[in-house]
Amino acid sequence: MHRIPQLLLLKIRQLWPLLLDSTLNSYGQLFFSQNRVLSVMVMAASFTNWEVGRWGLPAIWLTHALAWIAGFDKSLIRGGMLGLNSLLVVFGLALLFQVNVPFLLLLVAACMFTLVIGIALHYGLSHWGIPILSLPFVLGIWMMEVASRQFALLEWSTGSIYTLNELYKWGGSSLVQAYEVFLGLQLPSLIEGYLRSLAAILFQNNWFAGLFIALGLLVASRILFSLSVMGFLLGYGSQWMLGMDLATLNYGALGFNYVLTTLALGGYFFIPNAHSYGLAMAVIPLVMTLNAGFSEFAKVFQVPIYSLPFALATGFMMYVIKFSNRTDVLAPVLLQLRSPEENLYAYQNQKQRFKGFVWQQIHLPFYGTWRVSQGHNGGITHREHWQYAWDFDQTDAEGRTFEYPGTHREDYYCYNLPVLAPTNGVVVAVQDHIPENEIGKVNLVQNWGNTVIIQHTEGLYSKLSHLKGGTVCVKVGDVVQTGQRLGVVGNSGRSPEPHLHFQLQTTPYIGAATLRYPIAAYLTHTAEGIALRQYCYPEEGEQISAVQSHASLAAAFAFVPGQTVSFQREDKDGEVTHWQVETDAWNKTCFHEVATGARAYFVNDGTVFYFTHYEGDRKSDLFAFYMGCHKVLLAFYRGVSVFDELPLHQIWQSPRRWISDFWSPFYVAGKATFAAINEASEEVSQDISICSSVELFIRSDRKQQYAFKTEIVQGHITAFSGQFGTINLTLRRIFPAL
Amino acid sequence: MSKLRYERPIIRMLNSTITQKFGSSPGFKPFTHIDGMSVKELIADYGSPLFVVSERTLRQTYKAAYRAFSTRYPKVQFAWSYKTNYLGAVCQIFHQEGSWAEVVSRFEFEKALRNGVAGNKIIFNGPEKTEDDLRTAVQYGALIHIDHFDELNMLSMVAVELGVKPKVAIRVNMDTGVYPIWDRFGFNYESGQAMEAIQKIMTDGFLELVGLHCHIGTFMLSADAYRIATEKLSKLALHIAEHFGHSLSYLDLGGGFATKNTLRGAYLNGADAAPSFHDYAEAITDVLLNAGFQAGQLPTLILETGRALVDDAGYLLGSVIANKRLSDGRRATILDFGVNILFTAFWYEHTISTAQACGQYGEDAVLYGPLCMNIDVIREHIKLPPLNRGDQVVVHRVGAYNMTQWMQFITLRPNVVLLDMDGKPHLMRAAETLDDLVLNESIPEHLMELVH
Amino acid sequence: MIINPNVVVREGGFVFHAERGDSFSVNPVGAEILRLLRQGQTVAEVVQELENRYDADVATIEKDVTDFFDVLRHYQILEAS
Repeated sequence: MHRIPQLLLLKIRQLWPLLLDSTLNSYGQLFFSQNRVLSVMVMAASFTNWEVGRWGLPAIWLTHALAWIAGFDKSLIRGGMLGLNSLLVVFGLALLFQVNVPFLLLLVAACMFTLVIGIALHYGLSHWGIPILSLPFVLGIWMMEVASRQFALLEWSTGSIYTLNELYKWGGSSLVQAYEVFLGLQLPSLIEGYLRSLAAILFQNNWFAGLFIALGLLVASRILFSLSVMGFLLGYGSQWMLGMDLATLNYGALGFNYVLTTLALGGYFFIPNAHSYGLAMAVIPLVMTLNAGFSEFAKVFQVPIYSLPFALATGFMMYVIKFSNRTDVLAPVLLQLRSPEENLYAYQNQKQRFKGFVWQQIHLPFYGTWRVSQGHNGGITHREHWQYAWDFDQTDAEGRTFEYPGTHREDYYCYNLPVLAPTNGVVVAVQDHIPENEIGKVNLVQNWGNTVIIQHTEGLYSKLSHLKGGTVCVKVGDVVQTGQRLGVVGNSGRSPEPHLHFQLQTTPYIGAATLRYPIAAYLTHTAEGIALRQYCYPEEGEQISAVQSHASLAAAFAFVPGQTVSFQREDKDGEVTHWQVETDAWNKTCFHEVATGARAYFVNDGTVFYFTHYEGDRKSDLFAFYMGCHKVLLAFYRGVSVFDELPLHQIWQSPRRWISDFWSPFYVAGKATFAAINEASEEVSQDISICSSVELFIRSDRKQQYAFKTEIVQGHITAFSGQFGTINLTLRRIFPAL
Repeated sequence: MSKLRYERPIIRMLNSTITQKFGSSPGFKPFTHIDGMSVKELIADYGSPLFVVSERTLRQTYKAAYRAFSTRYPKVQFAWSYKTNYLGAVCQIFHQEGSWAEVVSRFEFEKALRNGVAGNKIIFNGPEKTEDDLRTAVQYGALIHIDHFDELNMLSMVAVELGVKPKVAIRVNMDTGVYPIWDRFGFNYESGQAMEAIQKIMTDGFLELVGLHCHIGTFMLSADAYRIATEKLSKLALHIAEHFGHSLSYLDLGGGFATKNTLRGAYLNGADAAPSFHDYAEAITDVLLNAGFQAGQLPTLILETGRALVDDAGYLLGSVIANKRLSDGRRATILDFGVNILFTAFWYEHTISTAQACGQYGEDAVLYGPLCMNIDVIREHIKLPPLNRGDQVVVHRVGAYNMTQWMQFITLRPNVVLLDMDGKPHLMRAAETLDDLVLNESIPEHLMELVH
Repeated sequence: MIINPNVVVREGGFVFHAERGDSFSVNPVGAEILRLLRQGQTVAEVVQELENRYDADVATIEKDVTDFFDVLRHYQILEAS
C-alpha cells in the first residue's frame, strides 16, 4: 500500500523538471523568452487580474496532461507553445464569462480544441517554416466565443468587481485602497499605453501588470525590451499619422500586435542586428493595415481580432523571407539560446570561427615546404574558368627555383619530387604518356601535361598536372588515401619550367573549370615564424607546408563515444568529476558532465580539436575545460600558436555588459579571445603541455585574463589546471582500473 | 717590341692512356676566388697553408640535403656529425640551420654543450662511453645509442642509480649487400642479437627505447645499401610495435653519403660516381613510407650526414716550395702542406687547381708535402701546368675530416678561415704556435738543466 | 747539344722519336728551344735568344733550360754528350 505514494513521489521527482519548465515557459514564451525571471514576472502579472489569472495554471496543466497522454513530442510540451495558447484562450474566456459548471466544461473543451489545432498547425506549417505563434489561440478563442453563443447556460462576466472583492478578502481595505491608488495614477499616455499593451496580451487591463512584464523583459533581455518599446512607439506613431483611433491603443487592445511582431522579427527569429531591426520597423505598416482591415472584417462576427495581425504578419514574413537570399545580413536563428543577446554573441562567434568552413578536408599534395608560384587569379594562366588554381614550386634561400645554370630540368629543385593525393578518393582520370618539355618550351596542345584527377566526393574532384611521364603510379579506379604517392613533378604540358599545378573542380574532366575551395589546414613560413591557417587559400609568394600531426596529441584528444573521462580535483577534498562522451541524433559528439548536466560539443578533424558549443552550468569543471582547450592543434611546432574566440556572453558577465546589450545588435564592444601554444621539453618527447589563455577585451582594454595548462603524457591527458577569476582549479586524470 | 709571356719549356710523352681516350684534357682554369674573396689576398692576410670554409656553400648544401629528404618524408631531422668537423663556427652554422648534434666521445659531447646545443638534441654514439660519460649523458637528457651489451648493462645501472629513465636507441649492423660489413659496431640483425638487446631493454624497463640506429658504411656509392638498411630497421621497428605495443620515435640511418671527391684508384670521376641527395632520399623514404607504419605513427627520420654536408665547403690553399726532377724524369713539386694536415690525401685524389694562370700546358707531376717522411705524398700522378716556387694552389673538397684528423707533426697546424655569407673572412681557428705545443709539457726536475 | 737525327719536330708542337716510336708534345717555349737547337745554337745562345724574346730573367731561363735538357736527354731526344 505504501508503494503507491512512493512510486508517485518518484515519478514526480522524475517529472519535476519537465513540469517546472513547461509551466514557466508557457508564460515566458509569450514574450519569446524562456528566462525564468521573465516567466515568473509574466505569471505574476497575470494574477493582477485574479479572476482571469487563476485559470492560467489549470489550463496549462490540463493541456500538457492531454498532450502527454496523447504522446505528443515532449519538447513541444516543454517549450510552452501548447500551454501558451491554451492559457490565452482560457484568459479570454474567463474575461467574458462567469464561473459556473458550464464554464468549466467550456474551458476543458477550449483546451482540447486549442491543443488539437495547435498540433495540427505546428506540423502542418512547419513544412513551410512558418511558426504557429498564437494562431491556435486566435482560432480557439474565436471558435469558443462564437460557439458559446449557443451555450445558453454561460453567463457574462461582470468585470473587475471581483478583483476588488478578492483583494479585500486578503488584505483588507488598505490593500483595496492601494490598488485604487495604483489604478488611479496618471502616467504619461505613451508609457501607460505601452504598459497596457503589454498587459493586454494577458488580458489584464491595468498598467502594473505591464510593469511586471516590462521589468521581466528588461531582466531577460535588453534587446527584447528595447524592441518592445520600439514596436509600440512605431505602431503608435503610424496610427497617429494616419489618424487611426488612438483610444484602442491607449487601452492596449491592439498595441500588443506591434510589440509582439517587433519582438518576433527583430530579436527572436533572426539574429538581432540593424537589418532585423529594420525588418521589424518595415513590417509595422503591414501590422497596422492588418489591424485596421481585420478589425473591420471581425466586426461582422462581432469578435475581437486579438493577436491575429501579429500572427499573420510574422508568419507571412517568415515564409516570404526564405525566398530572399540576404542570409548574409539577415540570419535566421537555427538554435535558440536563452536570449537574443546569447543568440547574437553565439552567431558572431560561429561566423568568426567557421568562416570558410567546408566539409571535405583538402590537404597540400606534397611533403616539405613549397612556394606558391601562382595563386588564385594569378596573372599568368590562372584566369577566367581556371582562376581558382595554385602552382607550386621550390625555391632556395635566394629565391631561385633552380640550381645554376638552370638549363636542364634536373637543375630545378622541385623536379622529381613526389606528388601526393590531397585527401581520400578514387582516381578517375590519368594521363601519363606526354613527353617533357625542354626548359623554356611549352606544349600548348596537351597543355595540362601528365595529369591525375581524383574524385573525393559527389561533385568534388582534385587535379594535379604537369607531372613527369612514366612516373604516375596509380591507375583509373584505384582508391587512394590522403598522402599517397601519385607520381612526381615533371615538366609536361604548358610548363616552361617544372612546377606542380593543383586545382579543385566539380567535374571529372581534364580541362574543367576550377572550383573555389579552401585548404583545410596548412602552415605558412615567414621571417616572423610559422603560422597555422585553416580553411584558407594559399596566396602567391607564400611558403607553405602541410601540418603533420603529433602521435601523442592526436591520441590524447581522440575521444570515443561511450568513453568516460574522469578527473579528481586536487583541492576540495578530492572530488571526482566524470565526463561521458556521447553522440546525439545529429552525429555531434559532446562531453556530458553527469553531476551538473552540462554539455560541451566538440569536433576532432585530425589536425585540430575544438569545441563548438556549450550548454549548462558555467561553474562546472567542464566549462573550465571548454575554455582551456577551446582549440588545440594536434601537432607540435615550436612557437606556433593557435587563436580563437569564445562567445562573448560566456566570458563577459558584468553589469557593464548587461547595459551594452541594448546596443549590441549594432555594436559589440567586447571580445573574448583564446590563444594556445604547445610546448614540449624534448624534441622526441611524447609529453606535451598545452598552455592556453582566454582574455576578455572591452574596446582594446584587457579586462580579464584566464590561464590554463593541459598536460599530456604518452598519448593521454593527465592533468588540467586553470586560474580564472578567483578560482584555482587543478584536475588529475583518473584512469579506469583494468 | 714587347716581350712575350714566359713559360717554362715542357715536353710531355703522349701515351695512349685511358684518360686520353675521353677526349682532350680540360683546360687549366685558374681558381682565383672563393665566394668572391681573392685567394691571393687570403694567403697574404692569413698565411699559407690556409684552410678556408665557405659558409654560403655549407648552408646551400645543408638546405639541398634537407630539401631532398623533407620533400619526400614528413618528419626529417639532421644531426651534425661532430667528428667530421667540430670547429665551433662550422657546428654553429649547422645548428642554426636546425641540425642536432651527433657526438662519439666525451669531449665532443662537451663541445656540443658548449656550442649551446640542448642536451636532448645530442645523439651520443660510439663504443667507448665510460660510466662517467654515461652519467653525464643521462643527466643532460641526451639520446644514447648503445653499442654493446656491456654498455647496456652499465647504462641500466646508472639509470637505476640516478632514478632516471634515459631515452636510448641501439645501433644495429646488418648485411646490406656491401662489403665489408661493419659488424664490429652495434648489435647484429641477422643473428638475432639486436632483438635480444631490444628484448632486454623492454623487459627490464630501466631504459626507454625511442629509436633504432644504424651506420652502414662510409662513402657509399650505392643508394641501394640504404634501401636494404631501411627495410631491415623498419622491420625491426614494426616488430617492436607489434610485440611490445611500443612505437619508436625515430629511425636513425646514420651517415656515409658519398661526396664528389674521387677515391684513390677509382675508375670513375667522383662527380659522376657519387649518388645525389635525391638518390639516397628516394631509396630511404620510399621504403619508410611503404614499410607498413600506421598513419600518424611514422617515425622521424634522423640522418647523421657528415662528409656530404661539409666536404664541398672546405678549401685548402697552399704554396709551392720547390720543384724537382726525379731520377725517372717525373717532375716533383713540393708543397707547403702534407698528409699531416691533409689527412684525406690518403683516400682521395683531390681536385687541385692553380690559384693563378699558369698556362694551358699540363705536365705529369707528383706532389709531395713538406715532411721528411716518405709517405708524405699528396698525389702520385697529377697533370698540372708548370708551377714555380711561390705559386699557389687550391685543393678542393677538404671540408670533411681534415680539420679533425690533422696531426701536430713537423709543421704546426695553420689558420682556418670562415668566409661568411658576404664573402668576408673570419678567423675560425688560429694557427698553432710553439707555446701551444709545449703548453701541456712539463719537464721533470732532473732534466731542467743541460749537462755540460 | 745535338738533337737525335731520328727525332722529327712538327707543327703544333708535336715531336716524334722514330727510333723509339714515342710521341711527345711540347709547349711553345719548348718548341722554340728545339728549333734553335736544330739551327745549331749553343746553350748560351739559346738562353740569350729566349731572354730577348720572352719576359723573364736570365737566371730563371738558364735554370729551366738546363732542366729541360735533362728531360730531353732522358727521353733520348738529345744525344748524350
